[in-house]
Amino acid sequence: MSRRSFFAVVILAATFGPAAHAASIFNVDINRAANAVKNLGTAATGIEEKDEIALGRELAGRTMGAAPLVNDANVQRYVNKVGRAIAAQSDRPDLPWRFGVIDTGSVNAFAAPGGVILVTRGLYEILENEAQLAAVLGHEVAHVMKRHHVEVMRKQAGTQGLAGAAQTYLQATGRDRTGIADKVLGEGAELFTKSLDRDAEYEADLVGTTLAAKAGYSVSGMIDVLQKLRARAGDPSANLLYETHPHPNDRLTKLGETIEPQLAKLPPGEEPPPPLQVAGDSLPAPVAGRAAPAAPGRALAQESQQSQQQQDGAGLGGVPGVGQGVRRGGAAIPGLDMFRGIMGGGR
Amino acid sequence: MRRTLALSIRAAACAWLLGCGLAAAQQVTLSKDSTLHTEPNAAAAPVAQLKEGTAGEVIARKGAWVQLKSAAGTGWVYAFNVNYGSAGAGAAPAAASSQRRQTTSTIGIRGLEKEDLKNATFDGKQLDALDSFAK
Repeated sequence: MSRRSFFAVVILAATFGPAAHAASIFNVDINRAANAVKNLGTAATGIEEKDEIALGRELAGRTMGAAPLVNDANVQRYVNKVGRAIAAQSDRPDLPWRFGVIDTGSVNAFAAPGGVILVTRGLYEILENEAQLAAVLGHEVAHVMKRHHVEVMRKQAGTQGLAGAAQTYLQATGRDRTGIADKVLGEGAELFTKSLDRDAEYEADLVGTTLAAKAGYSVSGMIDVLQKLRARAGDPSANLLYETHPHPNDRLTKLGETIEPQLAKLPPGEEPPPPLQVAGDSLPAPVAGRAAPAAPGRALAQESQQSQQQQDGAGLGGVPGVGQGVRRGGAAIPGLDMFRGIMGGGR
Repeated sequence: MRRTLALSIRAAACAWLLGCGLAAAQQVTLSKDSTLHTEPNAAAAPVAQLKEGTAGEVIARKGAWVQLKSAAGTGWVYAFNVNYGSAGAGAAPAAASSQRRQTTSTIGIRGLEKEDLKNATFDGKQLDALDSFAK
C-alpha cells in the first residue's frame, strides 16, 4: 500500500474509529474528513491535487500559446461567472476553476486537469442562450470532476512516471520543466489531441447535464448543443472535435437513455432559457493572422473591422492591427502581449 | 463587412420568422418510435404512438421535451428522439430564446488542429490574463 493510501486509511480510521466515537459526533473534524476524501482521490489517480492543478495549468498555458484568449473582458468574465456556478455544483467546488474563450474558429472545448476550461470562439459563436453555454461548461467541468484527463496522463507516463514527474515538475525550471511536462502531456498540448474512452465522454454528457440542471438550467441546452454539433458533421471547423469524440448521434442516443430516469428528480430549469449576456457576434474580430481566413482578403476586412470596433468602444481598447506579426505557438514577442488589450483596460 | 453581413442575415431571418423573438416552427422527423404525451413528461397521458420516421412540426420546447404537431395529433415528445434534418449547416433546433444564429462565420474555417496543438508553446502571460478574469 502506498504511503499516501496508508495515511488516508489512518485518517479515516481516526475520524470514524472508536477514538472519534468516544468524543461527541459534533467534534468530527470536517477538514480532516475532506482531506481524507481528497487523499483517496489522489491514491486512485497517483497524483496529488496540487500537482494535478500545476500540470493542468501547464497544459492550458500551452493551449493558449496556440490560440490566445479572445480580446474581450466581458465575454471572459461572463464565462467565468456561468462556469463557476456550474463548478459549484460539482464534488470539487474548491478547485481553482478558470474559464476562458480562446481565439480560434474551430468548434471545440478543452478541460485541463485541475479546473482550467477553454471554449473556442467558434463554439461560443454558435451558442444561442445561457443554457447551451452551461451545457458546454458542464460537460467540461464533469471531465475535471471525474479526472478523465488525469487518467490519460497516468497511462501516458506509466504509474511511476506520473507520480515522479508530478513531484519534480514544480521544482524544475525552464527547459527541464518543459521536458518533464512533455512526458505526461506529450509534445505541446498533444494531450488534447487524444480521444478519451467513449464511456468517459458519455459520462461527461450525463454528469455535465445534471450539473447544469442543478445550477438552474434547462436540459434543452445540452440537447441543442449536441444537435448543433451533429449539424456540423464533415465541416472543417469541427475536424478535431469529431476525431476526439463519439458521433453526436451516439451521444444523443446515450444521453437520452441515461438521463430519462433522472429527469423527474432534476430541477426543471428556467424556461425559456436566459439569453447569453454577451452575444457571440459582439466579439471583436479575430486577431489577423491567427484564425485561418474563410476567404482570401478576409484578414484585411477583419483589420478594418477591428479598427471600427475600437472606435465603437467594443472590446478593451487593444491597439488595432498590432496582432499581425503574431505567429502561432512560438515564443511570445516581448511586450506584444501587453497590447493584446487583455491586461490593460478597466475591469 | 462581417458585421453588416451578420446584420443582413439577422434582418432576413427576422422577416422570415414573422417577428423576432418567436421560436421558428421547424420541420422534424422522429429518430425512434415515440409516445406523444399531453404534457412534457413521461408520466402524462399518451395522445398517440408515433413511429420512427414520422414527420411533424415543433411548435414549442421545454426541457427534454418538444411540442410536436403531427398528423396523429399535437403533443409532447422526448426531444432526444427528434431529428432536425440531415447533417448540414443550420439543421439544428431554434432555441426557445434565440438571439442569433450565425451559420456562416465558422463554416469552412480550418482552426485549431492536431499540429497546432502539438506545436504549441507555453504562454504564461495568457495564464495570468485567465486568472485575472476569474477574480
